[in-house]
This record gives sequence, structure tokens and C-alpha cells, in this order.
Amino acid sequence: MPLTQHPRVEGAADLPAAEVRRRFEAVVFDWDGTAVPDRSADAGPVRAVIEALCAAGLDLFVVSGTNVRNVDGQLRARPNGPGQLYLLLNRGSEVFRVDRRGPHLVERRSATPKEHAALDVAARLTIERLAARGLHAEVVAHRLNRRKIDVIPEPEWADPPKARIAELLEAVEGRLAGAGLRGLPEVVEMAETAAREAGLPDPRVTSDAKHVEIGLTDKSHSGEWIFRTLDGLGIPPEQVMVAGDEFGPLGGLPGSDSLMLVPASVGATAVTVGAEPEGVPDGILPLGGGPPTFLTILDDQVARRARGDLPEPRHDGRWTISVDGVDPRMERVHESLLTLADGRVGTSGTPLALHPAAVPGVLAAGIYDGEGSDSSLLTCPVWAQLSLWLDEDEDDVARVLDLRTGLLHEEARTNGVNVRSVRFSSLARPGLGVLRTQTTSASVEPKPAPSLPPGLEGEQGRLDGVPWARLEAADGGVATAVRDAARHVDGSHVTERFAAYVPDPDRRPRRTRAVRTADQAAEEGFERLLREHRVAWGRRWEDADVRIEGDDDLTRQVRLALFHLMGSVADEGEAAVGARGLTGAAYRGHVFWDSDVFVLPFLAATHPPAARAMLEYRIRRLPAARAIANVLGRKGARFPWESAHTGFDVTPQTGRDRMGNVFPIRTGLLEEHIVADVAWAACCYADWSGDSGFLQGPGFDLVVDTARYWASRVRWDRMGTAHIFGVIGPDEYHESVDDNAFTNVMARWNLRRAAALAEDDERVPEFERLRWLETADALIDGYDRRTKRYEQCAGFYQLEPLRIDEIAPKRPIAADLLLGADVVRGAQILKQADVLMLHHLVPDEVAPGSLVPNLDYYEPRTAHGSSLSPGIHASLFARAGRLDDAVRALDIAARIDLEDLTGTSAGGLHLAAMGSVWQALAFGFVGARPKGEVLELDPRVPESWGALEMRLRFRDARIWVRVEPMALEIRADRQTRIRLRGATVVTLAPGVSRRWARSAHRWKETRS
Amino acid sequence: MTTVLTGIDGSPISAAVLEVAKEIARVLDAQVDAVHVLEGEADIPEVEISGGETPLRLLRGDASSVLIDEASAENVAAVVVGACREVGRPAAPGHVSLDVIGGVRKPLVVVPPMTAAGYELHTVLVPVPGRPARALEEVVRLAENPQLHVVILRVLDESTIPSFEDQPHYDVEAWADEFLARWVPGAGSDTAMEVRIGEPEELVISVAHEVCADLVAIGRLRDLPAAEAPLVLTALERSQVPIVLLPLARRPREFAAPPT
Repeated sequence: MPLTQHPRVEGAADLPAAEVRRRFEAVVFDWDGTAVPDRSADAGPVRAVIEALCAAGLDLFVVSGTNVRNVDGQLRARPNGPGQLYLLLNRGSEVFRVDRRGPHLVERRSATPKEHAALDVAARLTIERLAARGLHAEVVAHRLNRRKIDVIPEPEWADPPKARIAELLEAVEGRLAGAGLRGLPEVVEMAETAAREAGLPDPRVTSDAKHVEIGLTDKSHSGEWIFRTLDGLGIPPEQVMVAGDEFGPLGGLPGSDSLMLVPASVGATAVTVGAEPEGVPDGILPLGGGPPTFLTILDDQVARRARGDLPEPRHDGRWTISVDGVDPRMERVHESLLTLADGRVGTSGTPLALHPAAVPGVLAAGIYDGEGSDSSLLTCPVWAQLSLWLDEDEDDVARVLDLRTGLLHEEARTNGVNVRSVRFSSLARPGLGVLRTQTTSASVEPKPAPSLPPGLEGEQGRLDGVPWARLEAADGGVATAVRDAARHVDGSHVTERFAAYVPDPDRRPRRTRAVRTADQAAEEGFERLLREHRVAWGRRWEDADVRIEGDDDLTRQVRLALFHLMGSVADEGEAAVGARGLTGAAYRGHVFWDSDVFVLPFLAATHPPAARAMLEYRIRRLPAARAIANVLGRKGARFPWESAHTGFDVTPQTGRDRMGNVFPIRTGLLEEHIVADVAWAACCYADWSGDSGFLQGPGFDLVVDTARYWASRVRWDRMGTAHIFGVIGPDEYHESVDDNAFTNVMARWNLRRAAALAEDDERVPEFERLRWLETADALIDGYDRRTKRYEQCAGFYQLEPLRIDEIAPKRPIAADLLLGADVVRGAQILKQADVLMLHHLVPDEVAPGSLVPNLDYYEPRTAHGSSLSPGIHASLFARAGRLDDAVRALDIAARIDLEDLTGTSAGGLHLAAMGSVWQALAFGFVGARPKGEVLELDPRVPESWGALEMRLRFRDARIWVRVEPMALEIRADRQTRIRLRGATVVTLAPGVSRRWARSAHRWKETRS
Repeated sequence: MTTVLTGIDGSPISAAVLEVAKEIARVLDAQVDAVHVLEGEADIPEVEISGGETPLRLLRGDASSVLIDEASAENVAAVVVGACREVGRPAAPGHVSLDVIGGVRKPLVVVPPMTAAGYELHTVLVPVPGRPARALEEVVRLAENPQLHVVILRVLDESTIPSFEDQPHYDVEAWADEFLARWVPGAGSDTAMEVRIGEPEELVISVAHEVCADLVAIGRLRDLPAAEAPLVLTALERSQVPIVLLPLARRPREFAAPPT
């Protein structure tokens, strides 16, 4: 069912075209001839409607060739948001933002002295060449970045109104013909030639019939700026109207307004209200009627906003996840995929109307109920539901999640009622849910909320008329309050809900705060909240987007992963990121190494505050980690394999396998690499962000106390070799092994990094620091120089030499189920990367040249029975140059949740696998690694991809990378040092793109 | 009135057949309609095996054809027949049973000769081998019956073993919960799940014993001959408890397409 039906609005019939009878998110328009008849006309009516539209949240862009004094002097609009008014003036050279206090310069293209001189020369040469043909012309004005030549300097045509454009054109053409010129195109061509001769490589020559202007910019620059800005706001072209009066050709030249239709505008609705004597190009709606028609269009937009029309869903399938109908079998998976989250609170994407297969749920990050291994994320009251059942037989509901803006659009038809809605979990105000519904029946209202989840005890009541509820967890809890609003206009019934969640992991949350937040949100209103939410998502994507040219499906899958990674992690305070983030309650919301090793790197390299909040979670649990170490008779801090609120281990002691047999769970006791993983995460954050103060300050103990743990954990033999006995490595098929290579090398890395960090630091005695280095050097790692392989653990080579790639009917496969746990335990079969995880995480800590020998040996023995495995192997294959294998592995990793490859996505999405998808692209295909103040890159992409584009943040710089099979382009917004593999360090200047071409195995710079 | 058509023939198994039929009728809120089909010129039996509680209808003709014909009546909810004619023989289905299996379009209960006296129906085992299909709905509808304790036996093989199992103690539970929610949506809290890996023909007998099943419910595509369904054949041959074969009208359907 398409989500494109536009309810009728009173008075809309006056509009001449159905295409404009819908809500737009932005209107771009020419000034003179479109918004006003001429520059002396009264702009009062358009001023009023522009201010009303800004107040209703619509963005407006006025495009004109003239200056701010002329346009603002006539318009005098003083809007107060939330929609913005921009003036794009001086033929593409200036941008002003207008607010209550007037216009403010945003951007100006300023000609250099050399360009000024070139413009003068170009104008003089043009006039001389016209004179040589017997035509008198004059330079009439030196405008910003351009020279204006009057080709008909006659009193009768001194200041012709727009209405006389046809007569003017006839007079000009007659004059030009008299001089033997083939009309305006020949004059323009003459001016362009003169400009190039004068030294302007890309002159912009335009004409309004009376004048020919030679300039550095034109309206296309305005168009590019506008659509770039709108893209940043998450507004796609199809939600934009472009209005003008001169799209059609004029005297053989393209209409000036057609220049606004830049490539990025494709999909926008373009209308002309002009006379257009020579017709209009395809795709332009010829409305005619001049400024009065345009005013009618704007009035219609005001009426739609007043009525509460909904923003429309995006069309671009690379940015959307669409679910048609309710498939009872897949519904819970779909709800996970459609989850809306803001880092604090996550809401499943259930249909608004009730359905027996739907399981609505709201989770708050870090709020755990229960004790010990029974602790699980608290189920919160549901805020987004209607008092209406979906008709199961009609099955007429469609949901579209816009990943770009975090909006969930829904359209349902049930029991004769149409319900359209938009909801979001505000990224700008975490903890706030906003819903607007538009229905054909006044009886459809949101279900009374907040109601307490079944089986949970709590309080509820009303405060100042606002309903609230409070649930208490083991330590803290969640308070919720909702404010509803309704309006009924023209047979359209619109309700809005503002739901505030106040989670507090430590204390009983205050209901007054929830009520106040809901009240405040309602006062701000839907449109203002929508805008700031869009802006917030726009900023996140600006630093994180990924695009794979030539593979739209993969692009969408990657964006889905990034959307949920971003939505699941708060960027203030502490962020407890459970295995499923905020997309589901499976794994009880416990925090594993998934969080530190798989999720955090993406955030460290795109949104450091969120990575910092994740580390804050670990920092606040250092006392517990120290206590665990102490109980075990060790020093330092031992982080638990599964963590929840307290920071003590919450791993269950026993579990049941699929056959119902009880088995002991030993990961809590033995999977100790988590200790080094936390230290690695701290350094990953510091290395990407450049936040050196973190490691010297709050992060210091994360690195040092973990090193202390390892120093006390190792056992020395008589040969002076250090060992770590009795652990579980990432390959969890083999338990209680000795000298697991991954654990030992990560511990070694931890010790060395801590020693480097603590050098000359009085907080660590020198003898202790030296002992760390000594211990690191003595730790056995199982490396064999002859084979260049690491033995996964002591005795691994003595296990039965089975190769899972030869005996399994498929991979990935849960090999312990296929063969039985005992067989797997006794064989050389791995669940996931173990030794190879070292090559992924700490490539400088393993022997040079050892990736390929270990990949050759271990990958065929890896069942990939962990959802963490395919993404990491995609990265490793890419590093090894096996791009086809890398793409195959990436394809699996990217589909794990979208196609429910685990059968468990109903309980939430596999956040770590999603993180591994990003790591495969960033670390594997782009080969990005911070090395001190230099970002090292070693890019390679398969021929099947046109290009891979990624955005990264490295030490405050925003970096854009485009990798093609044979070419590379990099740009940074501030000075950044990079090094391509095998090359010297290059310093990128702010905003300047650098390009390279692949030559054999090296990159050779081509041009800037 | 809804009836449970019960074919008896005066052989020793007839008593068990009738007991099972009564339990089936109790669960379905139906009446037992016991029939004895006399083939050829056979005499009217001397022993009234229904014990007088249940009326016995005597019909003449080919037993299989008559039962199939009677079963097509709208009010017949299920059919119950014996597995073979003589106790002590391997519990292969007799020719009547096989013919009836092929022709009846209603749930068909086949009662093995070793069915214990005093039969009571409480626990039903529902094996689900291969890929779960939409047609499974008709089998697991049993789970909605509050009088029954349903045990779903999910039998995995090489092609259906999950690709991933991250932390088994969480994934097993999440996977099982979702399997039930997806394929047994009406299941109450009294529905249990057992998972085994291997050959369904072998496992169904042993698990039925383990869980003390009183009935094994097997879905069977109507257009698939019983002889070509190994699970059906094995169950009929080796089960010590009655088997109910539930005719499935539709071909299995795979999972829905992923979101676009």
C-alpha cells in the first residue's frame, strides 16, 4: 500500500495542478516575477505567508540576482522559526539567513583581485567586440563577482517591467540583428570567450534579455547550496517545490530559473507562474498566473500545516526500510528492524493499531530490573499505540522507516478508517517520543498512556492533568508522562502525542521531571521538534554516511546497521550498550565485549562523544572490576564477561542447550580477554578522537588497572616464560584452554600500552611499569616463525584435524549443533576468528606478514557460527586482497538481521554484527588506522563496486574518502595528516580534495 | 452433531480403537460414531464390542471404500482406525488403514495394537522436521486446545541447523520463543518445545516415549502418498501410541520476503 495519499484540504481546488496539492518541506523560489510582480510592489501578503510558514516549520529559499538591500528591503520578513528563511542573492554569490533581527550573512563568494581584474577585462573585451560589429553596449554596474552589460541602453528600455518581456526581447533581437548578430546566444558566447581569454576558467554568463552578465557564479550555485543544505536536514528533493517564472528559454538561452534545477534537485516539483512565451522544458509544471498563483500555493501550504498534514515518506530506497502488511511470522523481526531509538530509549516499530502478532516494547538503556544473572532491561510503558485493532484479514498497513531522519511513517486502513502517522524518538531530546496521527475518524485516539506493562508493579497517576507512570528497577527506574493534543479541521482529525521518559539507573526517577518534559515538548510543538530531530540525524549522517556505488542493496543494509548503532548509544553520561542495543530485550540487555570491540570503533571514528559515553560506563564500574580482581586474588581490575548495572558479573551459571540439556556456562569464569578488550576500546577512542586528556585522566585507570590484572594473572615457568592458563578465547568451542593466542597477545598489548602511557607518570612506580614490559615480552604467543602461524592455544595442533569447510553442508553453521559439542571440542574447528582477531584489532602486535598464513589456515576451519564472524572475516579478506571473498562475507554480515539469518532477530538486532559491517568497510576495504597524529589508509575495493564513499572523523577533522578500484579521493575539513600505504605523509589542506590513481600496488597522486 | 467416525472390525484391537476414539471425541466435543463394515457375505459379528455404550452401525461393502465415503460427511471431524488386525504382528498398518490414509480428507487417527487399556489423551507430540511451513498451522492448531499439552518436536538436519548460535544460553531461549511465536501463534503456556538433531523417523519414536506422548500428530500433504512419507510410515509401523495424520491442503510456503 503506497504511503502517498494526500488528504484534500479546503481551498486546494483553487490550485491549478494536483502535483502541488500536498505538503512540502521546503519551497525554493525566484523573487522578482514569481513572489512579487516587480521590485516596487507591495510584498506585504507574501511576507505574512512566509512568516506563517516558517512558524509552521517550512523552509523557504528566495533566489535572486539582486542584492540583499533590494530583496530584504522589499520583503522585510522577520520569521521566528522553526522553519528557516534564506536569501540566496547576487546571482549565486551570497547566502543570508533571516531571523527576527533581520538578515545575517552565511556565506559569500568573494572574487580575488585577479578575478576582479579578469571580470573587468572580460566586460571591456565584450563591449569592444560588440562595438566592432556596430553595436553600442555599456557596462552599467559592477555587481558582486560580475559585470553587467546593457545591450539595449535606450531610454525606452531603461527599466522594463517583467510583463513586457516579450516586447523587450523583440527589441533586443532586432537591435542585435541590425548588427549582424545571431541573437543573444551569440552575445553570450562572445562574452564567455572574452572571459576565458581574460583568465576566468569557468565564467558564468547569463542574460535577462536586456543585460548580459559575466560573473563567477549564477543561480546554479544557489541551487547547489540549497539542495546540499536540505540534504543535511534530511529533506529529499521530492519534498521540495521550486517555483519561478523563467524556466523556459528566452531568446535562445535557458531560462534563468532553470539554473536552480541542479542535478541534486532531481525529483523536486518545479512550477512556473510566468508567461513563458517560448514554452517550458519537460518536467516543469506551467501554472501561469504570476505572483497571485504563487501566493495561493503558499497559502495552501499554510493551510496544510495548520491542519496538521504529515510529512511524506522518502522515495529513495537506499534510505528506507519498508514493510507492507503484517506477516504474523516475521512481525517481531520487522518490529526490531523498525525500532526507533535515541540512545536513551528505544521503541519497537509495531503498527500503531493493535495486532495479535505485534509485541510493542519500550526499553531504556542501562535500566536493569532484577539481580545478578537475572537482571534484565526493564520493560517500560508503551507510548505509541492506538485504541484500534487492525483487521487481520484486510492486512492493510504499510510502514516505512526513513533511516536518514529516523521517522517511522505508517498508513493503515482498518474498520473503514484511514490512519496515517509519523512518529520519532527525538535524537535532539533523548527520551522524548513524538507521534502525530491523521485519521478520517474523530474516534481514533492514542491508547491511554502511559500504562504499566503487564506483570510489573509501579505507580501511576495524573499531575496537572498529565498522566504519568513510574516503574522502579533494582536501583533506579523510569518515569513516563504523556501530553496529548488534538485538532479537527476540514474532516481531518489530527492527534499528537508527546511522551517523555526519564530513566535513572541509580535513583528513583522524578515524575515531575517527566511531566515537565512532556509539557515543554507539547509547547514547542510537533514541527519544531521534528525539525530539530531531523537536524540532529543530519549531523550524525554527515559524519558517518557510507555509500557503495553500484550496490544499492548493500548501501541500504549498511545504513540500516549504522542507523541502529547510532540510535542505540547515548552521547552523554554513561552508555550501557547491551548486545541488542535498544532494539530488543534478548540477552537481557547485558553488556559484552560486543560493546567495546564491535560497536565502539564505529562511534570513535564518527561520533566520539558516544564512544566516550560507552567508556564512561566502564569507568564507573572500575570499583566493581577491582573488587572482582581482588576476590580472585589478583591485582588491578577484571571486567566481567557479562555486565549490567552494578558492574559485577551477571553471566548465568548454567543454561540449557537446544536439546534441553543443562550445561555449565563457563564464559563468566574464563572468557577473560574482556579485560584487555576494555583497554583496547579506551585506546581506540583516544586514537581516533585525539582526546589525549582522556587517557591521562579518566581513561588512565582503564588501561593501567587492566594491565595490573594481567601482570598478576600470568604464571611464570622455570624457563622464564609467562603463561595464562585456563581461559576461553573468542572461539568459544574450546573452553579452559591454556595460552590462548588471542588472550595472551591482547594481554601483551595491554601491558605494553599501559607501560607507554605510564611512562614518567608518578601514578605508576617505575619498577611496576618495567615489570609490565618484562611480562609482556615473556608472554608466550604460540607463534611459529617457520609457518608464520600462531597456535590458537596450547595443544590446538594436536586436536583432530577436521576442516569444517569440507564437512559442513554450508557455512556459516553452528558447528557444535552439527557435529556435537564434544566432537567440536576435540577438533580444530573454530566458532569465529580467534588468532585472526588479533590481525584485526592489533595488527602491529602480530608478526609482519602473518595475516595470510593464518587466514589460510584458520578460515577453512572456522564455522562462522557466531554472528560476529562474517564481518570480521570480510575485513581480513579485504586486508589480504581477497576482495571477492571479502564481499561474500560482508554480504552475509549485512543480511544477518534484515533476513533474520539467526532466527533470533525478533529479540533485537545483532548490534555487534552491525558494528562489524562498518569495521569491514573502514578497517578492511578502506584500510583506515590511526597512527599517532597520522591516519593511515590502504584502500582497495572490488571491481563490482563503482566506488566506496565513507565519512570519518579523525582528531576533530571530518574526512570524506572515495575509493574506486583504480582511484582514490580524500578531503578533510581541517588540516589532516594522512599516509597511504607505502607512501610518505601527506597533509590535507582544509576543504581541498586530493586524488590518487592506483599504479601497480601503489597510489600515485594525480591532481588536486 | 460432530462425530468421530470409528472403524472397528471385531478384532482384538477394536477395543483400543474405541477407547482412543472416545478420548478424541472428548477433546473435540464430539460423539463417537462406531461402524463395522462387513466385507462380502461375512456374518454379523457375535460380539458387540462397543459394550453397549456406543451404538454400532453395521455397513456392507469394501471396508476402505465405505470408511472413506462415510468420512466425507460434513459432520465427521475425525476418523479412527486400527493399525493392524492381529496383536503380535509387527505394527504395520493393515491394508484398510493404508487405503483409508490415502483417501480420507479428515484427521485420521491410527491406533496401534499395543495401545494400553484405559487410554487417556493429554500430551500430543507434534514433530516438525524440515523447513517450517505455513501448512504447519493446521497441525499446531492442536496447541490451541486447552485440554491438550502439546510438545513441539523441532527436528533439525544439516539443512536446517541454524547458521549462528552466539551465546547458547540466550540464543536457545530466544530462538525457541520466536519459533513458537512464529509457527504456533495460538500456543499457550502449556506448549513445550523439544529440539533434536538427526533423522525425524528415528527421533519421533524415542521422543514420544521421553515425553510420555499419548498421541503423535503428523501433518501430511494430501497429494503425497503415505508410502512416500518416511516419517508417516515409520510412525505407523513403530509408534506405541496412536498417530493422527492431519491432511495439509497446501504446499509449504517459505519465509516471507525480507523488508524492502
